[in-house]
Amino acid sequence: MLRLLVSRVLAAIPLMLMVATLVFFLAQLNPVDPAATIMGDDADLESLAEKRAELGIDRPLVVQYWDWLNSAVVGDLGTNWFNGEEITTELRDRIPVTLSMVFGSLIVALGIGSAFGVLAALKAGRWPDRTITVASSLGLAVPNFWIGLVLAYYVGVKLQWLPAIWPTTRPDSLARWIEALILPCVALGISASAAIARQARSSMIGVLQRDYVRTALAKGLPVRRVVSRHAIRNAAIPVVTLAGFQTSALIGGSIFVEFVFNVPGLGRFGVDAILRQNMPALLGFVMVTAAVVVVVNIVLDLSYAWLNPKVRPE
Amino acid sequence: MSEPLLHIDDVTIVFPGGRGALPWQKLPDVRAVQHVSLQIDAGDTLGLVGESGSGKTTLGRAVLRFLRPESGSIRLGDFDVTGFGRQVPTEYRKTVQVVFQDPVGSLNPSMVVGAIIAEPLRIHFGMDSGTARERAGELLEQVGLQRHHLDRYPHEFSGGQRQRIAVARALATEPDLLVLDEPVSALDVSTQSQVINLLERLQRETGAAYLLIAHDLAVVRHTCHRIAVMYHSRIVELGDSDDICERPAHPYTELLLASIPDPDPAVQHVKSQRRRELAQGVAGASGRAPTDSCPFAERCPHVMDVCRESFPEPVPTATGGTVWCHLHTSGPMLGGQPVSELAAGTSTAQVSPPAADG
Amino acid sequence: MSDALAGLGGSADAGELASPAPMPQESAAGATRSRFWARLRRNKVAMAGAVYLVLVVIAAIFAPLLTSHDETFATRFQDILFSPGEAGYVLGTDHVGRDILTRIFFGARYALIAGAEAVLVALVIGVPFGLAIGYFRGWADRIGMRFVEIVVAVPAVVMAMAIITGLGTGLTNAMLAIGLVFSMIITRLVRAEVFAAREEFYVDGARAAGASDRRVMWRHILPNVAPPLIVQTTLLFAQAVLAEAALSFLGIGADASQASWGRMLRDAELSIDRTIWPAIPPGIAIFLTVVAFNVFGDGLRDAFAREARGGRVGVGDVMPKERNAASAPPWPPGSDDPLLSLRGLDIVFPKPGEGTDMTVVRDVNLDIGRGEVMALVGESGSGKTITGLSLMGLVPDPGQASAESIVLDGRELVGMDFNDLRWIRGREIGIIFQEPSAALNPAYTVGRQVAEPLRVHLGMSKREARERVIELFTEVGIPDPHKRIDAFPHQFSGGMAQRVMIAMALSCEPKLLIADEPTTALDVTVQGQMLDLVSELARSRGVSVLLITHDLGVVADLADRVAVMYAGEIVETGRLADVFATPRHPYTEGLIAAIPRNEPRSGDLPTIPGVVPPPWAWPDRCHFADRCLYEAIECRRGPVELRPMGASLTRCERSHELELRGVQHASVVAIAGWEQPSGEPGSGGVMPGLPPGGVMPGLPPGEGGPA
Repeated sequence: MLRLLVSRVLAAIPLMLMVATLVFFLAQLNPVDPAATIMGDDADLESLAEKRAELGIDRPLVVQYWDWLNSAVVGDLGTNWFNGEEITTELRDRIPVTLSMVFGSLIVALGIGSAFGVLAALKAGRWPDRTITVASSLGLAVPNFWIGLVLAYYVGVKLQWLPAIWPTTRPDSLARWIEALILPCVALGISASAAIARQARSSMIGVLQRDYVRTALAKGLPVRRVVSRHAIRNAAIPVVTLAGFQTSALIGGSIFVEFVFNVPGLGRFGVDAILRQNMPALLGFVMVTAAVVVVVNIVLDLSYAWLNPKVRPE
Repeated sequence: MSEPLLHIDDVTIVFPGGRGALPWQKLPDVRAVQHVSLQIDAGDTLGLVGESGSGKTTLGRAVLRFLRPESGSIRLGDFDVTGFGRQVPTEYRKTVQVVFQDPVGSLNPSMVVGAIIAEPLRIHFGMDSGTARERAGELLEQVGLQRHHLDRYPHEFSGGQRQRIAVARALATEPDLLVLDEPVSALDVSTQSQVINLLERLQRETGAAYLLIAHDLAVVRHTCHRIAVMYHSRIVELGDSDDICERPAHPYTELLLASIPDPDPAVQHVKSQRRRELAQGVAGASGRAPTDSCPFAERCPHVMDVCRESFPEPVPTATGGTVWCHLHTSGPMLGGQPVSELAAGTSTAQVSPPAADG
Repeated sequence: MSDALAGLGGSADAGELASPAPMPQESAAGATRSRFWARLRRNKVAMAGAVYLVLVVIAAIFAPLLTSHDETFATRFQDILFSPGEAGYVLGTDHVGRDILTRIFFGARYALIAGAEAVLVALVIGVPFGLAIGYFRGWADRIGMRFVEIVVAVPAVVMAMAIITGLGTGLTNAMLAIGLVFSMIITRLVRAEVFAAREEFYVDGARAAGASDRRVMWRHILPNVAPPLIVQTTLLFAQAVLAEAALSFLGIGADASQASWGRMLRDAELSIDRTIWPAIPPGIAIFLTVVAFNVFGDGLRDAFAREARGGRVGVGDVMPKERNAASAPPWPPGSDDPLLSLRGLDIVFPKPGEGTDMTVVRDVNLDIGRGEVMALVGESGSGKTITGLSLMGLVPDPGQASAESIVLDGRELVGMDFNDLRWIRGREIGIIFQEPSAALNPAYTVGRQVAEPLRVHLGMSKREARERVIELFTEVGIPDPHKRIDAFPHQFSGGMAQRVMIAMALSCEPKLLIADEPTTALDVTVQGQMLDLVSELARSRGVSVLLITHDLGVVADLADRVAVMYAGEIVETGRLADVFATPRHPYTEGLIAAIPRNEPRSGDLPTIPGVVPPPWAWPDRCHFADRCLYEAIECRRGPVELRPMGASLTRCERSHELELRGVQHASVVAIAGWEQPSGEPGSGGVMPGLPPGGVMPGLPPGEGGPA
């Protein structure tokens, strides 16, 4: 297990490096001069040149890249071009917010999705299955930012049950924190739950037709045990794969939900970076999300090995 | 005697080992075929018999030039098969054709039968679609199907019928050699013999040579003039089929023969008794093929120390075949006599007792 | 876009019910295609989605004609927000007075154009890229996949945003970015499908036929990759519509002059303190469009997967059936107190693709004596396996079994519910299957799986069960049982896995062992060991065996009595010696003659002409008549009953007048040097009488059977 972990971590390093390289050069394709964006339209050529020198973007691209990479490796992602803050400091405040939202939704989605998916598979073709199937294909189609708007309006503004937007001051207790998280998590988690339910249903149906399920029945085991012991564990493997994709999708989706609920998370930071061509901020944002995805995938690889003895290294 | 059609000379085929759990780890290579030499004359049938993992299919794929041997040479007529580069000459593709085991997977499910059979006709003879269709219809009739089957999809046919279609496609190029990779083992007994009879009739009609790869020695005996027995990457015995099947000189051949169940309960009684005497190890071939010992040593009832030290040199058998077994040159010094000579007094033959466990 | 990277959900593969069904009479050119459309049309949900999408397309094309309001959304009533219905605005206006209905229609344009752009980009890049790296593999694949990995390591939206930073904002650029990210999904899908297709023999066949790499790729692989590709494209279209809305909502997609649905939501947010209404219609428009694409894509997928059927936990109790006085033949020949007695078993399945039922097993009677090995012989599609499963109430889901009675050791099993039958399964009847490696659960150690019935049925503690499993492993000849007990199934060879299955089946000392093709998946030299093991264990424990097989050689090795099945019916049954020496049914004769034996040969091999017909083509008379060499007028009159003939029972109208040939002595009975059989070799066809109580004497002591 440890060797598997080590090998996955080692494989992740070049991957992250390549991500950084790709994004750095992609973002340079834009001909717009960041200095002009910062200084405004009425800045004269001289001050623009000065600004460019200050930002270091008058140097050759490769030099800029090398510099950025060198400091990134030791954990320094540079300073924000617009407010002069350390990018790492800004990210540090925002990461917990976004991650609590993403993992909150993921855990709830895994619970709800798998439960309904398994139920649908066991009742394949009957009404619980049809209901769940319809509900999940609707759930997949709901735009998270739209359902967020609707929830914020009705539950937050009209009914006043839960905060419609993220509190302006940092929530001071866990209860407040959770309270503020509920609506964003619901908005974010609907489609993930639907996707997981669908996957759980189809992989469960597949597993129920396997020979070893027939063997388990032929042993005289009760259905409950056949399902809980013999079927679910094997059916979980594709669900785990999907959970990996969903984590990535949830991080992406959180950007929009944060926008709706005014959550001070990574998403807003990223959108601002794009709209204002804020290179260091953009790179920091991309690297952090990539790191989260990579870490989640390592965790999933380990859980594969637990679920499926075949992939365990000897 | 004229030059054989197919010449396989000292061929070794190695599959590179995959990656291990750690990025820099490399798994050891798998030696699928080691030092195999075979010939097939024009119009002749050679049976290549062995169990799963023996390397027989791999050797067939090398003849088809789907993979390239690590060493040794394969020549067919004027073609130096091992000398081909990435691109295999179309002329060679025309000369060698193949029929696979799996009647479901071997025909493209998205093409109608007519298109499947016409493809080689158009590639090799440049026929226009009308002529190709006409010829495909003839070929279908030749394999016992009807012209109106041209417009059907493969999944509309039974297993035996699909094998007939595969045979028709293979014969379309008028090949000199047909590689038959377990052509009947997925079929029911009653259909098996239909296909075997068909293949034999077609051989009489076309004069193509067959390389028949199979695991069932009884089927092979009925179809082949000569048989090569493979075990775990090596050929262990080679000879005329009746001799191999009645006077086997290698203990593995004898075990194979004893393992074929016979429908006559009296015969089967004798066979199963003999089988029990011969079966020493519990498992089939497993793990990596050894490079410098007899691969059958672990299971052999007559194993000797020398069997674990080197792979034997070929010995001519009394019946004109060849056997690769130390029993013929050391220990009991059988000198090419059938290995069943040892049966009466097994104890004298055993220079060293068989290993306690495999 | 939340699901953009989820990939295909993957509908369950439906195992085909019986043997692949030949349909020589009812199909013609293009039938496959028309069946595909028929299946798709039957899917009402998918059709509803398709109809809705057509409406969206119409709305997009004719948007200017469909509304009386300004196509430029010019604001006649700036800063007035009309409610729905007010001032002639059906859906009201937004906060700057623009008609929402008009903007919804125009929004359909943006949604479709944006979706098409993204999907097109994805296909144009992804398909050739995926085909190339999938086909050439090697370094091309390694580099290509590394690149894909890099792109998908970042969430799709984030990567799209990074690309947008480079390209600049705006709808076209945004969708180009989305398309680039989607192209990675397409690449991965196509590559995986090509990998799968490359393993198919038809690709090797095409290469052997001389097709060039390019031809193989475009003519053979791509058409078979097309179905999943079409499905995925439909689903990606839905994702692109969502992505367009999402990016426009953030302000990095459509700009203020473009009435995209996402842009409408962004505008609606500005007036959200007054009313939520302007956000509702565009939200619903997005939602419905995405649903429509999704259900249509799912419908396509189901239509491509030919007979996708849902399977519940595969248990079907055997239903009681009225006793039919006519179907009570003198049964069985010479066994007074059978362990198991089955009467009047019928099994029906729904006919594939249609609502009607077809009978796959008809009126099967079977008796198994105590300590006896009964062989049920037949080709694929004869119904032998499902007959065995029905004895344990394990007929798979859509199947329906009914029987007059199944009596096991004095107990009636028909009418028992699942829970009563549980105490029969595993405890009274054990079973081993054809594919031992598939029959064991890959997730658990073999020891745990063999211990399970011991714990459930016999209430053993963990430690007791473990001790017992080690004993069982020793008995079935697994070396190193103390170590192997903790190994996983994939660490076992086929023969070893079958030994594990045998240990499991015998763990609770059942009275009956059902062995369903126990050796078919094994190598020939391992087969014999397995047969020895089964017969030795069965005889030493007095267990009766129902041996289900297609191999008459295996039958000859093991069985005391035989029942031959053909097309759902028992056509002949009797003692092994009688049936093999003097078969009473032409099918039995044909089967015996067709077995390849180790003997010199002359002339063509004997065959049975034709093929086994599929269940829906079984006639209402002798099922075998069409393939029978002795077929006559009387064979076509009506159903044939099993009736006694000699010492056997046979279902043949002409059995009384036919002289059928049984097993012939091989002219070379044994290999030189082997001990001769007890009968006189070459004595002319009929084999010698066999000792009563079993064909095969017990193992000689001290002989090297399995440990």
